[in-house]
Amino acid sequence: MKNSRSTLMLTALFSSALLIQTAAADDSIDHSGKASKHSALAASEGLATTASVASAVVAVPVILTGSVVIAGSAVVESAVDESARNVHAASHQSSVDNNQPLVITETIITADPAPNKVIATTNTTTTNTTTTTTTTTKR
Amino acid sequence: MFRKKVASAKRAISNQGLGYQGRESMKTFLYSMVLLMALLVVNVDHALAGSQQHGKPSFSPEAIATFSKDVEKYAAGQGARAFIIARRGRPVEDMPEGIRFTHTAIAIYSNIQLENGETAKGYAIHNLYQDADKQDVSHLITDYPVDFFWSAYALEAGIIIPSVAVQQALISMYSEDKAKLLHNPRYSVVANPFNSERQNCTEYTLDVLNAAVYSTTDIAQLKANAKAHFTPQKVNMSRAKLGLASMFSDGVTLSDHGRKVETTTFGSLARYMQKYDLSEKTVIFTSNEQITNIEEFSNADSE
Repeated sequence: MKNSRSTLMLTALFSSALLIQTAAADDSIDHSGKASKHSALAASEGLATTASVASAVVAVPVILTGSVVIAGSAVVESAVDESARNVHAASHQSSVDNNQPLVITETIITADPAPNKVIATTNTTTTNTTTTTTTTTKR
Repeated sequence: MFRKKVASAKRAISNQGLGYQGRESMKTFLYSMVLLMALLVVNVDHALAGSQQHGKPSFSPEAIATFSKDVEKYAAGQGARAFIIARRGRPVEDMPEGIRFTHTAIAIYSNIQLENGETAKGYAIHNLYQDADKQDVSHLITDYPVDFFWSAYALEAGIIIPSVAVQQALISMYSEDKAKLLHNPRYSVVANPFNSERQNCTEYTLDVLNAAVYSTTDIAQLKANAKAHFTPQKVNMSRAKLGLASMFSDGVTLSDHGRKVETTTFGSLARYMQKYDLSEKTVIFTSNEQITNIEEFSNADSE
């Protein structure tokens, strides 16, 4: 009887540990990189008439220099030079100008590649593999 | 492993000719093991959910896209060129007391070059993500709001808008490609923010923030500064339970902790930024565009 009780207690403790592991588990796992996401968004009827879906290639921060926002790699260098790297110096700049509303695209941007790109990549890989196999066989 | 244990227990019953009480006790043990196995399977599935369950959205693509765009527009309306963003991946009741958000990152207003050659303005989100297969490893990945909220449990965002000066310093971290220097790929969900042994997503955010504020990427200096000024969130679980959890997941370890287990959370980050005047506003933004201003930062996690 004593053994049964301690076994049950041990089981309860382990079970509780397993449940805790679930609770403690971080959710910071990458959700991007799934081609189905791009497809799901593109096929979504609710979005079809109001927005398009596009995959991002690269994002370049829009540099903030005083009251002026400068974008693009050509001006990044000079903008960074101008920008006060010291936080205290920067705090003297006009926060009113800096807090102006920003423009946001209506396009739904995703890190996913478009499905045709995924298929093209897969086909290329398959072709390469086939070529390699053929060459190997000839040898 | 458990099958072997059950089989050997069965053999023990038949070979050793246990008495009635012994057989009953053994039966209880076997039932317990079966229960434990079932729980283990369920929890392993859940624990590995990053690449599986998390891949399945809880909401329709329209709802996620609309919410993501609303979050972007809210931040843009505030003039935020850099802000801290958090999502909730689990029900609040499943979280340790005092913790609400499960993932935190930094959003930077950017020119985004699209696959079709066009350029659009929006927020790129710079994340530290746990590897779905190797749970004690992380990667730096840039994604976009719809990716960020794709598998969130709730259409709810934690948003901290830093002061203009801090925004500017954060933007410099990314435009000069310095944020990656703060990455420690050794991951633990309850990483200790006061040393460099492990790092989670929110600790990485804290490190980037402090690197921006102090204009240094010297890790030792940043950890010393964090220890002097930052108050982490206590993980409200017993050490024994956390220890057991670490046995079952590579993504949980206590090796970087002393007696107390404390980690970086969205709430502790919000409190830190408020205390040192690094933030202008902290809100919880929900799907019906309801905005809750968090005046009392002690509630940023637990509200």
